[in-house]
Amino acid sequence: MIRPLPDGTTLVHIGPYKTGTTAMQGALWEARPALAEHGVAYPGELAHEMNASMAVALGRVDPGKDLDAFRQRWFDLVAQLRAERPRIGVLSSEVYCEATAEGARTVLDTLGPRTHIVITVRPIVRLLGSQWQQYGQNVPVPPYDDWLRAILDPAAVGEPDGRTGGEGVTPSFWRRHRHDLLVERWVDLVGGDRVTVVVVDDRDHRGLPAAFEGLLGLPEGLLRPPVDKTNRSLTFAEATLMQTLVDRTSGAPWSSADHGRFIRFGAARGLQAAPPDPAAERLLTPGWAIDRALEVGADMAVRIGASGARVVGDLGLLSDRALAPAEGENAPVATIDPGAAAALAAGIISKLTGVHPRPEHRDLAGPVERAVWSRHRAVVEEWDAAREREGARASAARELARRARRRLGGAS
Amino acid sequence: MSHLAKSLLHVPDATGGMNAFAVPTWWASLEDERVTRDEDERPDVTVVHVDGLPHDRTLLVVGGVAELLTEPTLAGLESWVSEVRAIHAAAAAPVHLAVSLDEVTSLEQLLALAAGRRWPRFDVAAAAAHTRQPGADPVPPQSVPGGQDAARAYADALVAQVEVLLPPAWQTAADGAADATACISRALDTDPDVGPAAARVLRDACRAALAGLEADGVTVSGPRDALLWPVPAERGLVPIDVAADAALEVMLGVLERPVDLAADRPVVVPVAELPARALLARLGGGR
Repeated sequence: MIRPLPDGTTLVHIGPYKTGTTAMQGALWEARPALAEHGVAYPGELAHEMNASMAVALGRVDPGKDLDAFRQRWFDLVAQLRAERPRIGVLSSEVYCEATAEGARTVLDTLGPRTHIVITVRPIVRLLGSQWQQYGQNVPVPPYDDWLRAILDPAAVGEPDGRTGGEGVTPSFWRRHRHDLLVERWVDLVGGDRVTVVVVDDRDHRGLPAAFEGLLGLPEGLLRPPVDKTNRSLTFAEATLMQTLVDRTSGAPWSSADHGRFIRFGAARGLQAAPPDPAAERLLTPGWAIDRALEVGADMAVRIGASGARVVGDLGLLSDRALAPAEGENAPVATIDPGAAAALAAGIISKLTGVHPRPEHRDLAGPVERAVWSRHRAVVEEWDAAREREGARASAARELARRARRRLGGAS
Repeated sequence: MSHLAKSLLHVPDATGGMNAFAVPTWWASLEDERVTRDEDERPDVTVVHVDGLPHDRTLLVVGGVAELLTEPTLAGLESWVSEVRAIHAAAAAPVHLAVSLDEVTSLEQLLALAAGRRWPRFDVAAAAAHTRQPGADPVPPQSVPGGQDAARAYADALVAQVEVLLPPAWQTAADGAADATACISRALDTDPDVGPAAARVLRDACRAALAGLEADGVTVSGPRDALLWPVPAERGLVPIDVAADAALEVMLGVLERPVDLAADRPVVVPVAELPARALLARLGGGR
């Protein structure tokens, strides 16, 4: 039985990445009317207010976005919570896990002393494949085996005393996933009595929502993570295809704004939205990497247990071999199912068709977005001109009809 | 000359499968005062005085790779690359390689290609006339020349998956589907001149050669995947580099078919569409 948080609390779920955050944000978002009936508020206009959270926690936003506008949006969310005065308010974003010192302080100072931090943790061994895939959708990354060797090198993992590793390949991995250091950091900031660690057991799909229901004092079964087919893992061939595309678009002449909009949130989403080829090989993790990740997980469990934070779930899962992913090594792949190949392009095309024909393009738009905006805008302006022409013709016809009626009336 | 020419477009005469249109009779048929030729200084180059280019260019219009290589070998590729490099080194202005799979038939088309644009241009009137309703008309089925099974499967899957999110974007979706399908069709060879392994080596070499030319300062526009040697599908599957080429071709197609909206056109911004910050700025207020 989980003890509910006291009334007046603001629960801040800080992730980290790949620990069920998208599922919980979706569940909270879809349950907002029911949450309100139980005095719980989940403010915002999106299930995940990622850029607003980034603006405050990290001092940056995605390429092409307006930092000041999103920073203001975060303060607006907090103002909304203050105005509603819910029994419990909830903010959730995995980007808080990487908050700068200033960002963390701003979040805590703004939300006040009744803030409670919730950290969801999963076994590192289960995060390796999904994080490699995630990075591969954004930036060029080495092949999985090379990446694993770099990430799981003791120097990269960091020292037992808590110092994190160097700035090697994808340095944010351990900034995000030294879960023990993350817990200790936030315990230092707010105290152990205001930090709850939820250990996610992937075999129990009700475990995570049930933990949140307990913390929020909600009836069992109220939070139901939506089925999200757009966030599935890629097959090995799909991941290779995605990385081939990212390798080609991560530098000049492609802009980071276009890359983010049309590759990361277009091509990658297109691949994920399509059903995977059942014959395609999934990503396999070598045995040595599984062993090493379980060791790291065991060390983390010890430190989290000693941190003073409340723990919901079994820290033993962090080093449980039964939770290890499929073991093996993928043979290089050079071809892909035509449906998956098409999904990549379909994701880009669909994203292009979402470029709004507003009167002026966004200041921070990349060259591709500007080009497609010009097309859509020209179509809208052509429609407007056609309407004006039709209006003029209709007026002329009405005038002719009026004159005809007068003439006929005069003749009778 | 009466008009104010801002830059010069140097067009070498037809050579080695490049600039096939550029023969004296074609230039003469244009009867355009912007077209000049100095038989004493550069007897093999026609110069066009143009307004729209950012700087002088030497234009090479090329079709598919098979038309350029004297033989489908690495030596044949090297020979063509050497010829481009030689022109680039000797030309009065840097070479722009415009890939066009259609014959050049007008000066307007030539200038569009020289500017890095596709031809024909985006037809605003046709796109506007098509539909105003979201999702009212699906992207049409795509034809696959040659009837390759993998290309056919690709095209069908693509059309089934594309969404048109906003009404004015139907033509963008249709163009994207057509560009990607055309790229796949070009890349997958049903009638190969070389074996599968040799074709893959040649395709990789073509890609490296293009990158090398670009590193030397040659610019490229148009469906540049046509300069990569085609390869066979493998047991009904699409080579991954080909799939990536097709995805990139979607973005390149849009990038190279924009609309030049008049800078001084009247823009009426409905207040409801203005972000609050922009509205404040327009009203002269601060934050």
